[in-house]
Amino acid sequence: MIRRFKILLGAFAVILPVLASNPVLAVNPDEMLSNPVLEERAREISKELRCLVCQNQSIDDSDAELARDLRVLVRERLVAGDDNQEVIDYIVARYGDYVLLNPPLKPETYILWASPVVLVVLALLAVFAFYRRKQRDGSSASASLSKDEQDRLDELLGTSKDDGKA
Amino acid sequence: MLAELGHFALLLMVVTGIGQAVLFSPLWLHSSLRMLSPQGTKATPAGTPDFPDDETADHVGTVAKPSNLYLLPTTILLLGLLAEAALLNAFIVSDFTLPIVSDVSHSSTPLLYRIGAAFTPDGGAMLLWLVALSLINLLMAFQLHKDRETSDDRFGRNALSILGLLIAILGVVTLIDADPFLRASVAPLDGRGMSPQSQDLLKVLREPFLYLGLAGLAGIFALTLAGLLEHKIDRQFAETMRSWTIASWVCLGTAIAINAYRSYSEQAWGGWWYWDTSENSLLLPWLLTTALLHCRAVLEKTATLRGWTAFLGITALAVGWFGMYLTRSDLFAPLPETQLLPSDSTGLLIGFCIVFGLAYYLFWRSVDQMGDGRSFEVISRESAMFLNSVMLSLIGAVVLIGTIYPLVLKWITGEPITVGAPFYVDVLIPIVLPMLFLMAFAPALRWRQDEIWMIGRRMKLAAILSLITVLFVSIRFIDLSPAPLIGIGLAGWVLTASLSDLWARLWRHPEHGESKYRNLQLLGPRYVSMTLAHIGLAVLIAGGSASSIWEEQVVISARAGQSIQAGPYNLQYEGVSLLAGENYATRQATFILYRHSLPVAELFPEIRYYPIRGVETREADIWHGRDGDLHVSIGDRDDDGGRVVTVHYLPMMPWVWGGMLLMLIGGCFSILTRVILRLKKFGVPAS
Repeated sequence: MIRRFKILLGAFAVILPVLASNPVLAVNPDEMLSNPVLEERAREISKELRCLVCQNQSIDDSDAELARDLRVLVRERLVAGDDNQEVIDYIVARYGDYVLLNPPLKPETYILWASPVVLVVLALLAVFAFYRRKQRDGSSASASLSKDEQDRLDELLGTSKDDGKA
Repeated sequence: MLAELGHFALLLMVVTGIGQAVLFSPLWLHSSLRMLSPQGTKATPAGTPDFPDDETADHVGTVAKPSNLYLLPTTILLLGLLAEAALLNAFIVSDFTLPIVSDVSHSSTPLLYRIGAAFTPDGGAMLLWLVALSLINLLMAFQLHKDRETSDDRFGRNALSILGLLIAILGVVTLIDADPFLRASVAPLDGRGMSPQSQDLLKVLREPFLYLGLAGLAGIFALTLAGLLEHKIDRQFAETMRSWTIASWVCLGTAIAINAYRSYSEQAWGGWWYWDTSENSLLLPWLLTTALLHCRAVLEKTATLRGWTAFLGITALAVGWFGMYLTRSDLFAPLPETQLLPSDSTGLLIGFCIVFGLAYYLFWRSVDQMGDGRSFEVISRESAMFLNSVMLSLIGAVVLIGTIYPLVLKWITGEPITVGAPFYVDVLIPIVLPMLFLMAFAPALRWRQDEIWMIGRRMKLAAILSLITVLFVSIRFIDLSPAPLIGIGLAGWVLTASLSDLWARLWRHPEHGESKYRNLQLLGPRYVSMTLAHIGLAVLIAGGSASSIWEEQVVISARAGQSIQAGPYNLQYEGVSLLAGENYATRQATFILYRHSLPVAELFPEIRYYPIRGVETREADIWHGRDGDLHVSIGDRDDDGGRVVTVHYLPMMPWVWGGMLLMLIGGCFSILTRVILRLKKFGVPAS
């Protein structure tokens, strides 16, 4: 009990300055704009921007100090009359492409954006080739059944009419 | 002292692993086995001098009798358990002379989390993986012994030999990269404390599931390589693989589900999937195991798709291993602070290159000699399952590229970029949607060959019902964007297709003279578990789409007594009290939850402060209602004296968790029925 009390005391000694300082939480009420249309746009933009000190979190989700600053910055630009793209450009100009959760299309990311398309095309070609080969093999292999196979087939058909289950 | 014993056990594990690799490999097989049988204990430490090592000698003596097949695997498992026990002991008694303990633990950490802390640092995680591997190793020996026809075969011994080699390689990697049993010359007075984010029951539970899953993939890998070596990728091989694929799938799935729920209940994270490196490296092996699961079924039924199944069997472990490397290395996130125990992951990467270089070379050499069985038509169940596995692998490939692309780019040009959720959503939706569409057909298709018009007849009920769902939703909620609507529609399509197929099978006319329960028997455990898993996926997708559309978020600055409206719920904020946890102080808010002005529950979101690390964590509190989750979290005090409160109302979110649970239940059901069948000694494979 005494140990807990000590922890508590010690903890509060450290917490108190934190309590007094600015609140930090994803989207605080005091950051929000009174204009609901602008606020909605701000939320939309925030979801596209990365919190620079977190792992793949948008600034909308993050409660880091830096994310808060970015959220405030986004709202300032919106109030100043920028449209969504201008706000994003403004932030990218200062923090680089790293801040965008959706990587922009540029020479460095051509491969990234092309890869899904290339993979899908390759997969389609491979599947197509696979079926072509199957068809060719199949037509030559299953021309006729041997006597044994025919007997086995009759036996199977005679005993069970059920098709298989996965 | 115990730590040194553990260290020695780990060393012996490597040696015994090499011993198993050599003794079970076909080249040495006959001669070495003859050497082994008369004097069981001699051959075990293959090359080690006679240490006065009573632990192992005892066990070796007792297990030598039943079968030589068990001798080495049992020894390895016992050694592994000994090493793990030594490490756990060091964490439980807080032995700070071990830098691994002082890096991540503290004397005030509760016992459960001190145990959990043993799995978080690199060395501890590798050791857990090794123990899981040696368990799999013994189970594999057990299974291969049970299948009499393969036990004397080179196939089983090859598989065990490869597993032994894997254990040896991973053991060496552990010793080189981050040896958990090193002592510090000067012990600190206390540890640095465990990361507060990891002090969570679910997080502790996740680790054993994750490493068991990865070890299961190693079992699959060993079986596949053995099959390639012996040119035995056939129906019997598929039958042997069955329990391994399903068990690994369930373990990895459980780890993913736990991880998702954990992100969800951490307020700071809010959502449940962020596409970050550690999540992706969990998802990748699971995707490939799912693909393997389907191919294996085709291989077992029709002896086709040999090469593709073997490829997936190797690749599943490859991505699991590589993901382990990515999360363990400091490539993405630099290690937070300087640690006493230097850890490095180069060994893991080198091991990866060696193992998979050889494995893919072997695959490439033997894939051409693999004949394929009878053919199947484009419209057939084999075809549907094959296409499904191709699409799953495609998703895996895209996720892998998205994960490593920023790394490679940064390495080449030095410019950092981010690949985040919007990228994955944009790119994966065009692959996932057709997959879901095709998935619904598979259970209703016949093997080998089917007719389009026949399928049309079987699927028409499902098609009509899912169209009605889409129409209803789109009329009821007119301003909906198309993507979630398509998600809901496809979920409905998969769900109704699964149910209507089940219905059709249940009400099929029984043959003359058969009892009416015959239909129920014909379903079989495999069909039931498959249907459960498919329905689970449909429910998961419906829940995910719906909660993303109808989510409501309220952020306000609340004062005591204030009431907050979210969805059908009303939350009344009562105030914040300061409490002490076992090793943290917490500000706990009390909310009373009303639904239609009736009190339903009390919710207690917290902000915890962990003095040892000086870190605050936020713990949301979640109410799982019938129609949705209510997710409440609190922030700091506002400038005007109120408390920042964030309330999310996520309708249909319980569907997401329920769907995950259904998929896992499906997998467990399949394993359980098989185990029961085995125990009853029916002698026939399940279903």
